[in-house]
Amino acid sequence: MKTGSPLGPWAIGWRIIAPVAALAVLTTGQFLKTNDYFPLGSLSQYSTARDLNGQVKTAYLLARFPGSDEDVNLSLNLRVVGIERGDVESQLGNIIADPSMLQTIADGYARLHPGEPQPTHLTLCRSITQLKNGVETGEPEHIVLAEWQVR
Amino acid sequence: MHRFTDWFLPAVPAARLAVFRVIIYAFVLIDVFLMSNDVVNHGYKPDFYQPTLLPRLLGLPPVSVWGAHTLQVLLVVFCVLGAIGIAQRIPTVGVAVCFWLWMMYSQGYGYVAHDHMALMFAVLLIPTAGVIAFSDFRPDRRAGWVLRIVQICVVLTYFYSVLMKWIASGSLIRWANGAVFVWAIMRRGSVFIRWTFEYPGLLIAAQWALLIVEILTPVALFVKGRILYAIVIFFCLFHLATYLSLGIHFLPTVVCWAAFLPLERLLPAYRRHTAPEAEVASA
Repeated sequence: MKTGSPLGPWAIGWRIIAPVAALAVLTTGQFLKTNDYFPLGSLSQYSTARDLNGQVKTAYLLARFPGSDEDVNLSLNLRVVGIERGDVESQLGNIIADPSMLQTIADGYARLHPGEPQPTHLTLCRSITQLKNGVETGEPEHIVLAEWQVR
Repeated sequence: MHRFTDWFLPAVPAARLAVFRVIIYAFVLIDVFLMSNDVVNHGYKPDFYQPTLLPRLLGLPPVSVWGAHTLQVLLVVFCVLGAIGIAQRIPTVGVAVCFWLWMMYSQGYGYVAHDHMALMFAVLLIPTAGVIAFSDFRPDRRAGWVLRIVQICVVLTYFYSVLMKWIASGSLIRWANGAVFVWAIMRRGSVFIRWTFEYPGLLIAAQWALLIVEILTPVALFVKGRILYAIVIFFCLFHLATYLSLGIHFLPTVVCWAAFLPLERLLPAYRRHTAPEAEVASA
C-alpha cells in the first residue's frame, strides 16, 4: 500500500460498506435511546425538552467532619471525590438501593486529600427548583436520597 | 458513482493527514491526562463499573489503577512515535487500540458523553491510510477517506443530536420552546450566563438558533474556501461560549474540525512544493 497508488474495488468497497454499517448502528442507537453502543450511542445530552413550568433537579453531596455539627458541600468532581456528578446522577438508583456505594466516594476523598480531616458521614441529596414560565420561583426544596456512615 | 466516490474518497495531499495525525495525537495526550482523566480514578471504583456493549463483548474487567497507568504510558509512547512518523504502522495501531480501551473505561462508569465520536474514529482510521510522510504532497484517496469520515462524524455529532431531540422530546418545536437552557444554566451555569435567567424569552430564541445551526451542519461537507473556514470558526467560537457559560468545552469534537482544513499548508515544505496536484486537491 503506497501513498497515491490507486484504490482497487475491494479497498473502495469496504471503505463504503463499513461507514454505512456504522451509520446504521448510530441511527439505531438514537431510536433505541441507548448509550450502550458507545461511541455510536445516543447523542442524548440536552436532548430532552424541559417544561417551562417544570422542575430542575440537581444531585449534591454533603459531608460531616469530626468536631462539627454542620454538613458541608463536597463538589462531585474528579478533583474532590474522584468521580463526576454525571456518573453519580447516572447511578442514583443503584446508590439509593445500596448506599454503601457512598463509601467508594469517601475513599476517593481520602485518597485525594491525604493528611486532611476525613468525613464521618455522607449524605447524597437532591435540590428541586420549581420553574414558572422559565423563571425559578421561591427557594429550592432539598431531599435526602441516601446516607452513609463512613467506615 | 464516480461523483460519489470522488466526494467520499477525495484525493487530498497525503501530508494533510500527516499534519492531522500530529494534531490528533497531541490532543489524545491532552485528553488522557487533563480531560478524560477519570480512568485512573475509576480504577479505585470497580463497584461503579457499568460497561457499554463493546467492553462487555470483549469481556473487559473493571480497569485497575495499574492498568490505567499502563495505558497512559503506552499512549505517550505510541502518540509521540506516531506523530513524528517513526515506524508508523505499530504506533498508529497502538494509539487506536489503547485510546479505545481508555475511552471504554472513561465512559463505562455511569455517565456517557457524546463529544468523542469523531476523535475515536479519527484514531481508529488513521492507520488505514498506511505510511505517510510530511513531504508527500501527492493526492491520496486513503488519506482523503480518513479525513472525510472524520468530517462526517463531526457533522453527525450535531446533526444527529437534532434527531435525538426529536425522538427524546417528541417534537423539535417542544424542545426549542422549552426550558433546556434554563435547566442547564441552573445546574452548571457560570457568572457569565446566569444573568439570562431574567430573560427566558432570550434563552428560547437561543434554543431555536442552536436547533437551526445543528440542522444546517451538513452544509460543511459541501462547501469550500471562506464559507467553510467561517463555519469552522463559528463552531470554535460557539464551543468557547459554551465553555465560558456552562463549562462544556466539547474539545474532542472541536479538534476534529481540523479535518476540514488544508493543513498541509502549515508545513514549511509546502511552500517549496510547486507541483500542481496539491493545488487541485487543496481545501
